[in-house]
Amino acid sequence: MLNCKETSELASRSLDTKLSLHEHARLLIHLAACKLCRRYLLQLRFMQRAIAKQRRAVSTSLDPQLPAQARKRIQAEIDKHR
Amino acid sequence: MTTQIDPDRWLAEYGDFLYRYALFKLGNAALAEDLTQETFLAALKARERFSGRSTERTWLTGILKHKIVDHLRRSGRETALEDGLSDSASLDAFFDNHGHWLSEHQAWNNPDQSLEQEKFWHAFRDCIAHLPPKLADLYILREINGVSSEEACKIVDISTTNNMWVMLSRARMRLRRCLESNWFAKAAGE
Ligand SMILES: [Zn+2]
Repeated sequence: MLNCKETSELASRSLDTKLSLHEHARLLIHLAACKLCRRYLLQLRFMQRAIAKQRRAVSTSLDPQLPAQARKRIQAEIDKHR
Repeated sequence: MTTQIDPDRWLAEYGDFLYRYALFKLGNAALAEDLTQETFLAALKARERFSGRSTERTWLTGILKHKIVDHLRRSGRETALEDGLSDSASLDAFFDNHGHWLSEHQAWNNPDQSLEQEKFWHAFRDCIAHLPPKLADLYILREINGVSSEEACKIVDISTTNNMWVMLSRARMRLRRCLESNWFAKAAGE
């Protein structure tokens, strides 16, 4: 059976790619017996969901988009240096 | 097929992408704007050297990455170059010799409620900015900028997809712990 360290890596990879059937089964078997690893996977999933949500969240003070003013300024600089 | 450089499209196509990368890496919007601008100007100067072997975006991101490293070095924030796969970045601090968790992490209470709170996002960003440099690069590119595994490996200079998974796992392990101590543990104590 996988230990928790191995499980944590597999849990993380399950967020990036589809695990093989074999890996998936081993992950499930460990999770069924281990509360801490179940919690860990839930929290990783939460973090990924949170980040995805923020990517869409525009027009807050936390806007992850280049502000319009900066955009203007940078375009002017690009034009000047071409 | 030859790859053409087209500065007319740069800002529209890569402005947000580069800005976001710098913003999360540095945690400072004004600085992120400046470095985004510097990146475009440096790219204009170096346009003859663009080989077309990578995409324009990968190339521009590489330039920005160097600008960020220079900045961090000048401001004394970045010390040793951390490759993200060395022992110091490993999971050893989280597990005992048998691979069991060293400490019991607690369940997070109503995490989705946190998403509505601006302070939560500051905590999250802060935790990302304080990851080991290469892990931060990779995490931001994959999770925030949504680039493919292939492009992420190219930009961050990771040799295999397997190494990338290992590094992402280490980044998430650290982020989780940081979020717990900087946000969830505090919220529970209030
Ligand atoms: Zn476990």
